Amino acid sequence: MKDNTIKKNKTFYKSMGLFLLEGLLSGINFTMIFLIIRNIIDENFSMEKIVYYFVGLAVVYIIRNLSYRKAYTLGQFAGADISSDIRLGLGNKFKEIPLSNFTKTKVGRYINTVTNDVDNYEKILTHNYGDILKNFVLVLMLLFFLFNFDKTIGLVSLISTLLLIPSLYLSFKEVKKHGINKNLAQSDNTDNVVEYITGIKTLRVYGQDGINNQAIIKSMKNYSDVSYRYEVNILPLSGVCNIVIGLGIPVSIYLVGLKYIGGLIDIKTAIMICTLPIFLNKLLGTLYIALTGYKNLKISKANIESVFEEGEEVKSDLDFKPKDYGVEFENVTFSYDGVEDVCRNLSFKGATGELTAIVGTSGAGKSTILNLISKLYIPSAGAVKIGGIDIKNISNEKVFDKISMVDQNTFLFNDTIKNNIRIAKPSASDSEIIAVCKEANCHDFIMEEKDGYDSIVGENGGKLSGGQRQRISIARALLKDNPIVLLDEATASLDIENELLVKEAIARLIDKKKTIFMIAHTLPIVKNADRIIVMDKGQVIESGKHEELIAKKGKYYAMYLADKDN
Amino acid sequence: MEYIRERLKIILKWSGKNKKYMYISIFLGFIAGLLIMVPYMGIYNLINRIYVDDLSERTVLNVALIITVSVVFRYVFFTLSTIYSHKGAYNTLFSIREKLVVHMSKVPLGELDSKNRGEIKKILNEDIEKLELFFAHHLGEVVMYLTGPIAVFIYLFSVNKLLALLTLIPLPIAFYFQTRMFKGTGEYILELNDVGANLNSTIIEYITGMRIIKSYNMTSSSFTKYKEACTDKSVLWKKIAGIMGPNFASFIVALEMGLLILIPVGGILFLKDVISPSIFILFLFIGSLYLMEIRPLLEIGGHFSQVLSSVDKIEEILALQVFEGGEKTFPQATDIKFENVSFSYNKDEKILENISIEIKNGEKTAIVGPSGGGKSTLIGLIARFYDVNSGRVTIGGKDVKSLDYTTLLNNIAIVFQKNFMLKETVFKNITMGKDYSLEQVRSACKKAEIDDVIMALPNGYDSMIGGHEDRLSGGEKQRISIARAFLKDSPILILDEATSNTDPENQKKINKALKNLFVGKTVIIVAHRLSTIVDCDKIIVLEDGKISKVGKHDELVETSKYYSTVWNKYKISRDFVYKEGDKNER
Repeated sequence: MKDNTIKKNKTFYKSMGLFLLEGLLSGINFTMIFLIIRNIIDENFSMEKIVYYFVGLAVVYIIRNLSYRKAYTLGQFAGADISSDIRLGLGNKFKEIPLSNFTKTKVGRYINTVTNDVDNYEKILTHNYGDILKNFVLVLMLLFFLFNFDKTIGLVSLISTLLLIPSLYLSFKEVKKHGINKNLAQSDNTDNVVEYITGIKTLRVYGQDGINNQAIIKSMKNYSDVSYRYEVNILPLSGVCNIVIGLGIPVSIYLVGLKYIGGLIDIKTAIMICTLPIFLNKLLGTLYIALTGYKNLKISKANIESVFEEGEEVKSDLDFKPKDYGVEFENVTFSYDGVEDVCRNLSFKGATGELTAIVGTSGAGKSTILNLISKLYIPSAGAVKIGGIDIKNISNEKVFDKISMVDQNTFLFNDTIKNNIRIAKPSASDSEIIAVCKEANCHDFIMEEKDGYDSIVGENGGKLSGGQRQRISIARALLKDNPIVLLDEATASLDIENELLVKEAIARLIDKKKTIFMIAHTLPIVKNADRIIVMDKGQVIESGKHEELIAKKGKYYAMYLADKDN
Repeated sequence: MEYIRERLKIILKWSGKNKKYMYISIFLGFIAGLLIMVPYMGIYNLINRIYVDDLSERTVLNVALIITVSVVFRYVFFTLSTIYSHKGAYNTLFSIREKLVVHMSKVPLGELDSKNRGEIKKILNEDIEKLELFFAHHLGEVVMYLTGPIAVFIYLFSVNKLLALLTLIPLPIAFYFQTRMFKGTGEYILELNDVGANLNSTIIEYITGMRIIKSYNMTSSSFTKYKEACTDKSVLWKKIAGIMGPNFASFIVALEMGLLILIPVGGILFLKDVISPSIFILFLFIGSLYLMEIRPLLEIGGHFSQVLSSVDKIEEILALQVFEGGEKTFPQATDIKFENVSFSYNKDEKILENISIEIKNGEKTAIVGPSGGGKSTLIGLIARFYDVNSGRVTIGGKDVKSLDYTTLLNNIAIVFQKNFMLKETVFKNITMGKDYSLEQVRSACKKAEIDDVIMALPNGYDSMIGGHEDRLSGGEKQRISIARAFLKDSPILILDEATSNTDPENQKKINKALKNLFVGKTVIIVAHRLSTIVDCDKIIVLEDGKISKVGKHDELVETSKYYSTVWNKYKISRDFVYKEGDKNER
């Protein structure tokens, strides 16, 4: 899989070939000038020659124009195809990356890679490559010319050219060294600005915005100072490099002059050679800039590659036909970051067709349980079993195929409401969809929308409220009709009208006799659950039926009392 | 042109006292540009001498030395020019950021809210950063890239007027093709923006929605949509490239076509002995190529349009009206009065219409109503997050608009729905930049029922929270916010009730903390849940931007249709139990 998507295609090479041709043809200018100088010295320049050169040059310009336009267009075509191919490759890759990798920071990076890195890669590929190639060819031609005229001058020019290498090396090194500080200051400042804007209401109420917030002002000032220091560190080096390379001009000219005086070269050669170093220098300057851009291409390319290199989900062809849908945790230990265990040696059972409620203080590990059942994450030790089968070796798709999730962050596509529900069962008829929407208490609010079921929900469902989204999520679960339902009963975060509607919808989903795991934030609502699991710090500290737990007078009892007071 | 000139004026105004760095930079860039000419002159001199066979070692050495000096100084000046331009640039960027932050602190928060927060972040970070291009690069480089060719032209002109003028012929031709390129692609570029935006949002949806895509096994259909968006962009870009290619090629080749004119004209002049051979050679060499120097200007032109659009976005924020002046003494009594207040964010939609309420000093008032009914807007008018369109809001008989804005905010504590934590220590998160002793802070935290939680953190009050250090639960953050309000101890307290999922024990502590906080203050609660407001002195029912009823709980249950329905629902919801068979049905 690795790397086979970032490849340049045939069109790209064709385009580069044409750029090369155009570069070679532009070298004819020098040849022409040289021929004329020779004519002048030999005193055989004439009207015929003028016509001859003019026509020849005109033809060359026409060919150059044609090959450049073809090269440019093909280059852009190739770039468009290459970036489209990379994007498709990345799109395919994302399907294989385990969902647990889709953390908030990583998602940001993925998006940045698919959008910006691919754009950068394309831009440099189509823009800098051609420039590099053309200038490189011209430099080679010039060096060849110079060597032909005079070895010493050729050597001096070759040395100036080769000085590009240490110059680039040094400047990359310096950029890298000082760039770290700048990047740190930049991301620091970005973070601070984001924090500042996010909290602007609170900050203002406490008189901490604007000039009074020295933290943000200092951060911005620091970023400005560090950026400036970065340039002060980098710029002199590139100035020195330019001078060193530029000194090729006077050195060559001095040598030419001496050699001419010493009679070692003739007049034609002398005239010709003393002009060429200037052009060589100009070409090297362009090459220097183009190659610096090439460095950025490598950064973008590395970012793209790092996505391609991410670990993939383990594929498995094992059949998944559990005898029932009871879920069992056997000594499960798990950690999100590999350092701090969120749960340790966790064992419990939720029998098939039963409602298991999970309660406990925030941060106790309640949602981790749901994540482990749906195989979003895999335990570091112990086993999660469905119907007696350890799901570790079952492919994610097959596990998903038995599970419906209803959570607080229902993701919606920028599509119609109908299509957003239909994803649960692509073959569902409109009347089936309406039926589940009625059950999930969605129908009424959908009919109030301007286009009913065909209303567009906006980017990530932005036009719908939290309660409406939860109900859509329930409608999906009803339509998909999977045997296991994982539910975060987040109704306490809703206003009172939504709260009741969502509760009713959940109640109907529960009545479908599924194996249900429900995180509950209030207690009385789950007192009829078949089993209540009380969690604290990653451990099940109590479990049983409501009456048993009340009788125990432990944590559950304390929570229950607190709830009654609220 | 007028548009560009106006923007340029604005940009230069922003650079303020940093202008001097810009001028130094431009001046140094100008000198560096002039120095480009020296090697050409030296070489012409040399060729001339060679041709008339009058070359001495001394001349050679002189020419070489002069060129050496010119090369060294050219890059020294150029480097200094860019260092100065960067100094000016980054100083200016900072002062624009500071200006923006300070300005934002004086405009109504509602104005900032109406802009997307993401948009403001983008302006502060990215858009301002784009101005660096202008200050650090465009100013100096434009001068240098133009000075070089102009200097060479002047030099050529001094040698031979006719030939020098002929070297300019490629310019209008090149610009003709450039204009044609922009004209031909204009409409597609607009389309490209849309297609690009669609591609971006499709990518974002595809990646952020991967979890749902996978769990509903819809990888192939989502991928199809993603693929289409990718293909759309590549197809459109090819269309654009097809139009640009020929024009761009003609542009580039035209800039290099001086030789095509100079060979015949110069050749004839040379044959007729009008010009010397060395002049002919000079023009063949230099005259045919010096225009290529201006090629980088084309790219600068492309970037410049981005700079201009950034300027517009920054200006949009700076154009917002600020609060200024006002009375600095805050009234003793804090009765709050709304007198015929109307408000709307835009003209089409009235959010509040003709609201009149009186909230007495020390009273506890709740506002209830359907979401979108204007509850948050109403409290926003007290703290001047927005300003009324008509009518007035008074505190102790004084119009809030007549009070000094800072004084007003100093006397109102607000606990928001979302609890914002600074990336700072717990201590600083509670003092919020003011000087309080640890004892004062702890006593506030005790009243907010959070002291024990903080003391249990690894570093107690010095523990870092906020940002990635997310150690506190939603309920705990809520109590930190309450502790802040305790310290602030303002006579007016506004509470936008939090609607987070806290566990029962946490919720109990929050309720207790709030009860402590309410003592002796004029309290206004935006209620999303009914349990907390039953014992309020006054409940305002706000529906569709109008007050439908005001009264105590017991009265409203009888008189307000909305309130009684919601109260009934609340009771059903409170007693709701899953797996109760038919008992839940209404």
